[in-house]
Amino acid sequence: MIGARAKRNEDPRLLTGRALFIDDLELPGMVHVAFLRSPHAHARLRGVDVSRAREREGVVAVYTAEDLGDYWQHGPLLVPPPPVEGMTFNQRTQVPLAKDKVRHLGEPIAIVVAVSRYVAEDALADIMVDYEPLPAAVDLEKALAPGAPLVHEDVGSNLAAYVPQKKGDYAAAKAKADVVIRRRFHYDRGAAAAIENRGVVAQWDARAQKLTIWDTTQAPIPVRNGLAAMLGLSEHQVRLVTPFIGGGFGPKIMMFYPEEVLIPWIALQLDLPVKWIEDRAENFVATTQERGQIHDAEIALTRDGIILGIADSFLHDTGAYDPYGLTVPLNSQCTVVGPYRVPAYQSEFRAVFTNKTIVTPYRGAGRQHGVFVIERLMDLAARELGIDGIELRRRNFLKPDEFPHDHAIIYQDFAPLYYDSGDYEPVLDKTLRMIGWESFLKEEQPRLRAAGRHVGIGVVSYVEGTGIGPFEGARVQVQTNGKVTVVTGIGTQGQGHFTVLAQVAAQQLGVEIHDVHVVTGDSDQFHWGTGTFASRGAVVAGNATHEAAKSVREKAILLAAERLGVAAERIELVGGQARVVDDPEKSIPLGELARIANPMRGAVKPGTEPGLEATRYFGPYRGATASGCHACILEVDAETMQIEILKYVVVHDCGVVINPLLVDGQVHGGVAQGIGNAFYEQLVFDDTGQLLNASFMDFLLPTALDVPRVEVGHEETTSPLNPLGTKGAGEAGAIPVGALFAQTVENALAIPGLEILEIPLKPSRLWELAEGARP
Amino acid sequence: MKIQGEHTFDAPRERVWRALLDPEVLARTLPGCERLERTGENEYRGVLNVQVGPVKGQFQGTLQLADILPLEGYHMKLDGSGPSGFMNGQGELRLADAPAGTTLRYDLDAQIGGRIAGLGQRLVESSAKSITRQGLEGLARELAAMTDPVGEETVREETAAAPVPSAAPVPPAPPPVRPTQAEVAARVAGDVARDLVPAEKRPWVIGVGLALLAILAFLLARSCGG
Repeated sequence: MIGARAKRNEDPRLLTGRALFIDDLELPGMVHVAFLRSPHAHARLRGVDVSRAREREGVVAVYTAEDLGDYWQHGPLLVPPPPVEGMTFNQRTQVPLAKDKVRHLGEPIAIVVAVSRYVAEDALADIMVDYEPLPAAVDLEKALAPGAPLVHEDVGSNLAAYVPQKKGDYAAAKAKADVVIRRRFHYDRGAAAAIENRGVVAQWDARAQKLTIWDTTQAPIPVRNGLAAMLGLSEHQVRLVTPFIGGGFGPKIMMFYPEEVLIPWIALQLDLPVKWIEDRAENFVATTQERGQIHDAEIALTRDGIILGIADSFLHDTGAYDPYGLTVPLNSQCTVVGPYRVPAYQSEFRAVFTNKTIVTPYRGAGRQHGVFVIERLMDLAARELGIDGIELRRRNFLKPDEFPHDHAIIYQDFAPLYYDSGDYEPVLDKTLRMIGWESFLKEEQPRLRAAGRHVGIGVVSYVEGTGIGPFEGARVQVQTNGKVTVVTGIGTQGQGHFTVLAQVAAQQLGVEIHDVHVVTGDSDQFHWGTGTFASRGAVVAGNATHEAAKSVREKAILLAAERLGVAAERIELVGGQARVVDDPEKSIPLGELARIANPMRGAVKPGTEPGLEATRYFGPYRGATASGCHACILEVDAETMQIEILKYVVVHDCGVVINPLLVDGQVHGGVAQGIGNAFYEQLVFDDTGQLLNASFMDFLLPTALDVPRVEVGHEETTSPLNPLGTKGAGEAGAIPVGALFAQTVENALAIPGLEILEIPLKPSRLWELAEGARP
Repeated sequence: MKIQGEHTFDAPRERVWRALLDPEVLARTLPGCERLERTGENEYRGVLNVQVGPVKGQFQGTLQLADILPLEGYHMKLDGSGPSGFMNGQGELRLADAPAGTTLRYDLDAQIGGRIAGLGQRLVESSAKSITRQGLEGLARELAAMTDPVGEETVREETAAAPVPSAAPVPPAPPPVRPTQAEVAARVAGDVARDLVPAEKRPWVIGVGLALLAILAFLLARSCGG
């Protein structure tokens, strides 16, 4: 079962339109809300007058910050700052509705509740807000300059955090170097643009004294616990359900968004079911974003291309608030060392408050930047030293006997950055074979160049920290009809949890994968867990499922042995039966065992737990490090600078592969998102903080025409950190695409001085860079 | 965004000046203006309907005039806001004599924000140009229909002195017809299309556009009927 290319259990429901998405919910008497959002990136609120809106027919209620009373609180800090010596962190978290001042475009100021969304939106026009527009902090460097407009006056500057980390002695390493290469790298902001926006529906049942919240969050249990505390309810009085969700990608792991905090409160205030579904225009300003960083990085090498050290100093755009702590810049900081032996590393970053939408992890979560910096530095070093880029990488790859490898700096899970296992050269070799590296360079490229075509090839390596703690749990139960249920606290947004967790349980219990029914994201069914993020679902919930299924297996075997009168060692679980290994005619169905395990009469032995059921938890000691290579061949139209990807290959090592079909799918989707990030998607702000391309007319996503068929290969280096030996695979597809694009476009255009040091690119920008590099 | 340019009206300077200070005339000429009323010395409040690309919005706002130099020009400041965002502008209007009338030079600095900026950005400049052009054309119509105090007398004298008593008196020019919101929007769309689409492709694009409109109208009619 584990390793099977099984089709997805959830697809029949999804493909036939029978899956529940949040907007499908229609509850009797339900009211709808619309948010009044700031049209200014930075402005003082001199007054908010909602009196006319309250009078509009069909309006049920209107709330401003003042109306929330004690419920108006800053959101919690979701991730505390890391225990790093010499760091500073200024905590400023978001508020449910702006009071006194707005700090980013789209920040909510008032909320209208009405009989329909139409009426609620119309009533927004009745609200009069007196704004005093203020200059905005938009550009990262200008925001840190003296005299810059301050996002939070009480901080005294726009510095949200400063974190220095080091390994070894970089200055000494640099002094010994034959070559030092220093560049500035830009990575700009984009939107995750999930196909389904956010949504929250809440219903208070006064008879049961219970609040049910349907929410598109990636973290159902923490959100339930937090909302219960805020609303003054016991945790068991709140049921949080995450239905099917059309893509999470990280922005939905941001917790306690204003909308998420307000809708349940309103449901309690009004004793009416309340619904809010985010529209796309809201999504562009109200859902968190990522990627704005500027790195000043350098690499010191010997003449032979051996890395002596790396130094990096970067600015990170955290937006108007920093509720998610420093996860993203810490990931960037820890990814710069890549799959290489780096004896000395010195890095510092400054997180900067800006008058822009909040930044929290988005698929890759800072790793893109790290990969871009190190892979670009490797390319530049190869050029400078006259060493082939692939050879340079081979010389610096960590070798299999160097694992586990301690990088001696603190990672996002606050454990030292520590690679559990890996074997990078076979991955690279397989990638080169699959892309046809040798024959392309020797035969095809010269022929294409002679024909005047600009076709290039590239390959990059990456590592990805995955599968971090703290823990997840799972309850596995054999039903009396012989089917198995797996219940876990993580949410699901398309990853295929209904299949991989089923495979893990099926492996232990000897049932068909489609006979395992998985439930995720319903706090009434399972109320412990952290959430779906950091490529951790299959690793952490997968291993919890594995442990629980193993216990159920033991229980079933003992019970069957007792019933069949044989030693437990002689029982195997196959085809939904417990049978005697050397006498398969002697068997008993699993469902029958489940019935026997729940006796209605008689006495059970002391200590007996009913049912074929077990609940187990798994918390990895630290995250597992996945790795891989991406390669592509692409053509640049030298006149328009439009790009066509001709071939794309990914070889990924995520340890033991539970289902290669699903890993392929994760990689395909990730690459599509990576291509968007590299060449299409950029949020453009003017210097007042206005977002100039807040729609899919102008914020371009790659379409089916722009994303090639991606060929995926797998290598398996088992992780020693968990019983299944798995590593995460959720983000790898998206992470190295920018670095690969830059290298491949340079190779295609073959303009000697052309250096691509920024992402995203676009045809017009590529044209400027190419023209600038021409002699 | 800069809105700069000039336009020569076939009208005497005094008449143009009078029009530029008359809220009723301004309300009629400003495309999408639903209301403009005087609230104080050189201060007006009004409602403006603007469509930029897919965003249609009603803006409530104020218009303030300052540094008024009779027959020369003034400084204006416009602040408007609505559910789809805000628009602010300020700048100068200046009059000068021209061989065949009066030249109006305008130099405004405008800023828009919120949803209208986020969704309509690439259409903002061409929409602004179109709205300006329509405003100037509207003003020209108003000026043609206006009569000058001095001019009126002249006309009357001439009429009085007419040798043919049976001749019908010159009918007053019909009051200028104010374009509807839909007409304004359609003209903006046309101007924007001209800005964005090269001339040789235009008939094709307009054809497709009209066909789409027809389909849309059909669907709307059907859905309303059903």
